[in-house]
Amino acid sequence: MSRVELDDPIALAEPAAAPRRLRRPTPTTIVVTIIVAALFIHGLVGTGIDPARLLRAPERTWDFLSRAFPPSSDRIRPLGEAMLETLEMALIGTLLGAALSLPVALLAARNTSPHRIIAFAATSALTTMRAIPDLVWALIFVVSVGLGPLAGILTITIDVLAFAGRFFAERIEEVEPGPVEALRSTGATRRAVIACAIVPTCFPSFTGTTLYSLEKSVRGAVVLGLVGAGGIGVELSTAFELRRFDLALTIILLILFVVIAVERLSSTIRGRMLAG
Amino acid sequence: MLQVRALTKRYPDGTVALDDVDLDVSRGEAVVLLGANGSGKSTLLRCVTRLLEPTSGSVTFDGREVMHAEAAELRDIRRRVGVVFQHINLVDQVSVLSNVLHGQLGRDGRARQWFAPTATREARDRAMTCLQRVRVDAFAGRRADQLSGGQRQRVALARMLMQEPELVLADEPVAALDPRAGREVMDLLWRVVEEDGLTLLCTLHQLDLARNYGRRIVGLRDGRKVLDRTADELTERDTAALYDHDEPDDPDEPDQPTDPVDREPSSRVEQRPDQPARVPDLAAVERERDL
Repeated sequence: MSRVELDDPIALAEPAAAPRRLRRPTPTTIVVTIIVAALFIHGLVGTGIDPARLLRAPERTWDFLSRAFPPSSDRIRPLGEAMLETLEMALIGTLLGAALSLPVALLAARNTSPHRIIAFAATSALTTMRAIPDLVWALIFVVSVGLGPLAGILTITIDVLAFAGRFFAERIEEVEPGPVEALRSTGATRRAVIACAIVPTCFPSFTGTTLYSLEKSVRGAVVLGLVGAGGIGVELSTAFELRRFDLALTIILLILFVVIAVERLSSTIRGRMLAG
Repeated sequence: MLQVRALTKRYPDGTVALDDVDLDVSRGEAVVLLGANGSGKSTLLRCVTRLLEPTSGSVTFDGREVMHAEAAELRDIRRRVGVVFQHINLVDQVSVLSNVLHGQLGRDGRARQWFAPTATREARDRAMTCLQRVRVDAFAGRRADQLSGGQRQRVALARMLMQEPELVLADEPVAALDPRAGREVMDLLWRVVEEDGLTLLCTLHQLDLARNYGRRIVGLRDGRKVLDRTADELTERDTAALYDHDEPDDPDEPDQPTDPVDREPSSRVEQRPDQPARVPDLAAVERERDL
């Protein structure tokens, strides 16, 4: 016998009406939609986009491409050195940033911070650092330490600290309470519990975040040169200013090669770490 | 050695996990705390060294008042009390040897003793001896998460031995293990306790294990002590009284405010483990006391 009795009143009754296909939008949705549409239209009108310029674009792009090919190799040595400097800036900045992230994250995470006010201060500092774009940091550091790779390294350090510090702190807050309790129960000090239970537990995640930061920094370091903070960016902007598009293409290809190589390497290492 | 007086633990949500419990354990005694899930056994063990802060009552360990101990004195008391956990609680990302070395953190907190590669020779040798006593010395170099559940709990026993405690609190030490591994761990635990003349307070929810291992059995029900006698005197009626109110694995136990997830998914769970009474989150644990 089936579970539902034939004379079960529920089985025989008409089902309730289906929900309506479309729901009336809420006032908030309407307001947000109007604001977004207004900004879009105002922007299109205000920037005075000239269709004629768009029509000329293919011709100008062709001009760029035809001057860019074949890429020039006459400055390959200095360009290689500039690329190496970019890579080193990214590496040094990332390692410094990651090293600073650990103490800051320990201060920022609610479960390891000595005090709630300190946790709040550390979190706010990280948020502020993140809110300011890296090119702005680079401009500030160019003013304070002068043109060159040091400004770039400091920029990347801040950029990595702001990013990794937050992720480190979030990972620390997710730490399993069991091992921490086990170590507390041996009479270990707070410092020892953090070093022996919390840091090792979070370490794979810390390494993964640092490698990801390195990928991000290499890409970031390339453009820092545009504002004079060292690396290959300055070569790129000069090449464009002198309309040496063949040189510019060489630089772009170099950047492409290095960025992809670093990404590949980093994701391979991260994959291996996840696997075991 | 251990005197518990009128110990009460009330969680912020109003659940009373321990209600006015008195308990005396003398030196060298091995006491089994028996009770259904949510009877307050785990809470009692956690409250003894204030891993969980009791609401009221007093605990005296070896003549020292635990409730009023300052941070440094509390650490010294904890150093003398070894704890074995149901969830084993090894640090999975470091080696077995490092985990055993963690046992002596309370005594020697120097930074070089934190990890096996840098620890002193004396500490490493002693850790290896502890591992040998529970027969897992062959795995010293492996990462802790590469071991089976039974082996992991033996490493936790070695960590406890490394601590050189006077009192051992074992919280459902075999609930997460299959019966055979569980018996091995119980045998080892009882043996080292006997050999070293330690005092043991062990919670269990399986009646047969309690009868086999415990000489004195204390029964808890709904946070109250309802039974305290030798294993020989234990009657059917006594034990029925501990369990009659519901099934032992009722998931809606009032004593389990959080986290019913078994964190040992790799080990086969034959008996459903008694979930320890956990406070809702780590932040709350930390608020209770220093890390």
